[in-house]
Amino acid sequence: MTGDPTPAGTTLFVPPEDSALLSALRSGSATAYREAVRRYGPAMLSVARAIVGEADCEDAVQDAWISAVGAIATFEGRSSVKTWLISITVNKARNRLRAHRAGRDEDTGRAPPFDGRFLPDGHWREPPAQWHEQTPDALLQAEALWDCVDRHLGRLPEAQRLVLTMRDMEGLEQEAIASTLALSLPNVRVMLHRARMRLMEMVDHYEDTGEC
Amino acid sequence: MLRCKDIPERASAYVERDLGRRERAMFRLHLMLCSHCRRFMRQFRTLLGAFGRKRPPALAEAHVERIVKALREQQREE
Repeated sequence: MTGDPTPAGTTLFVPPEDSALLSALRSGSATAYREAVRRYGPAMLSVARAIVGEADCEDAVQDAWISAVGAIATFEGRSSVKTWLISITVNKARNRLRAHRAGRDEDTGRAPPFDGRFLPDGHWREPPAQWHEQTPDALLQAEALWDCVDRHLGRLPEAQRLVLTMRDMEGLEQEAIASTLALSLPNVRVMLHRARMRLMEMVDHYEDTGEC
Repeated sequence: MLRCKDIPERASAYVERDLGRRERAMFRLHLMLCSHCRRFMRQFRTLLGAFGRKRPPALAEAHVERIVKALREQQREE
């Protein structure tokens, strides 16, 4: 988080639950480890999966925990514990990815989302049709639709998939995502916009045609 | 004045409150006047709402224990 430099000798505010967890982790007790892993593991797994996919995500999360606990003394409280752990997970997952392949997907050559849906004068050529599901919960319960969403999520360029996962699923602030991924804030906004629009387009198509 | 085409392009920035005040006002004005774009934004918010509610599943206990074991081993080494 940005802000005024902390004067020497003062402590940044760490929320009580984070503080208790950090002490417990420093203690080295299996119970503390277990609780921490259960609490933060799902978010870390979600992010790791967005980078390395299903096959390697568990190992990436394990790498991240080992690194985090080893480095616990260096946690300065400049971000939440969750953000810090996610940051470590991103690094470890990317290390695994580098070991397997080089190169990144780029979102080039694809038509912009909703291309062709508008007339030259800017009005809808094909306005949005009514969806079968009207609420988030109803959408979530439509299994076939979510299988389709997951598939399309997997096809997004990594940066877009990661930013969407971190913002919309894990609730991180855009600034925290920017610093975790070493992206500029405008870049995070663009990635988020593209990912969301791509998935909107996909869901809209599915609702209209039943096709994934 | 915004056109319908401009709404999806700004939808993400709008929900993040990243639009400037004037642009935000124009966005809202367009929504007031256009039922198609109102539907689009409702659907967009529904989709984002679903992402937000999609809780990542708990780690498998076997996975939790593997991690705890590895952490305990690391601690013993130190």
